[in-house]
Amino acid sequence: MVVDCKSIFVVVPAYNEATQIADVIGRLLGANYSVVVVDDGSVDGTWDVLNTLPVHRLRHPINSGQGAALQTGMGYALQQGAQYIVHFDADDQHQVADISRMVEPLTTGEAEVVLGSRFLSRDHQRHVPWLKRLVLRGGILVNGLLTGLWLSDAHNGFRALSRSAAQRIHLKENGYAHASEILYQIRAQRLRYVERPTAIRYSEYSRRKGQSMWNAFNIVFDLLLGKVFT
Amino acid sequence: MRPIQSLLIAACVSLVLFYFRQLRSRVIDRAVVLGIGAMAVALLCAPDVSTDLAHFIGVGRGADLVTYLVFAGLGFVTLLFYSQQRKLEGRVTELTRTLAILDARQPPSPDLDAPR
Repeated sequence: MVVDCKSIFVVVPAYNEATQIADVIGRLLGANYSVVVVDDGSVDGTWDVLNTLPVHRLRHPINSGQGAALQTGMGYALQQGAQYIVHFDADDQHQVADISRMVEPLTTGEAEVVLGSRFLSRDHQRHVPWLKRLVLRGGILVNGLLTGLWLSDAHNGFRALSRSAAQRIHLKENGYAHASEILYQIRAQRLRYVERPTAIRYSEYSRRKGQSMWNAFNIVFDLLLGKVFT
Repeated sequence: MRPIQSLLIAACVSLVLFYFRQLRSRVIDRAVVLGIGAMAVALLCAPDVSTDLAHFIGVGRGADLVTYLVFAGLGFVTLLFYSQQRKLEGRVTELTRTLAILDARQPPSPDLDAPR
């Protein structure tokens, strides 16, 4: 099925990405997608860089977290008529070339949500640092117990959603726990999902910017408290 | 009545009056605060009651019983505050989101009349 690329809205949450964001956005625009960047209260001039780019851009007046920025981007994309929404990191870890593979199951009706995975391909796995691989495996177990979804990669930020799925998901976890909250909502809403292999590029920049592995404990804490207090 | 009892009773009454005067809250909250304040003053006036009560439920001393109740109460209040904080955070996030979307900037529209 031929899909108009402009109906695919790539939502990019960004916090202090002034040095990288233009390159990342340039590659997305080169592939002709509609791009929505949500500046989550950056203080390094990210907003000034975004104002030079032909993209949809929004700015949180205060830093609220990646989950909050994603939800803002999704809400805006739906308002703009998006048929498919892709979650894409601003730190150049995700590959633009993988977007078409991620969206394909949505266009054929095979799934309503597509989740990227680093562990479906041996070639992609090799690039994941061994300690991070160990922590991620633990994360898969914890996520499975908390959300009921058993995936090969539970904390991959690369996702694609159909319009109807995006309308039914509403993130309340502002921080990194949103990744698990999405899985919980996929299960609760009985959304059809599949996993697709995606490559993650680990650069010195992305390693510095990425979440600390010890943040996994905070995520579990937030999720457990979220279950009690929601 | 010993001086410490008078001091503590005065402190209890002051706290309850401060709560009623300075903090707006629901009737049920005020009833709970009044009830706890009245119980505290009653135990301060008749400290042996806490000892009898402690023995009745299997605790060694009245002071221990009061300590356990205070810890339980503090735990409850902490969770209550955390719950309120999460709700407040959610409301701030919704406000932030609304402002961001209202002020969204769009890319320039393609010029459909431009010669190809």
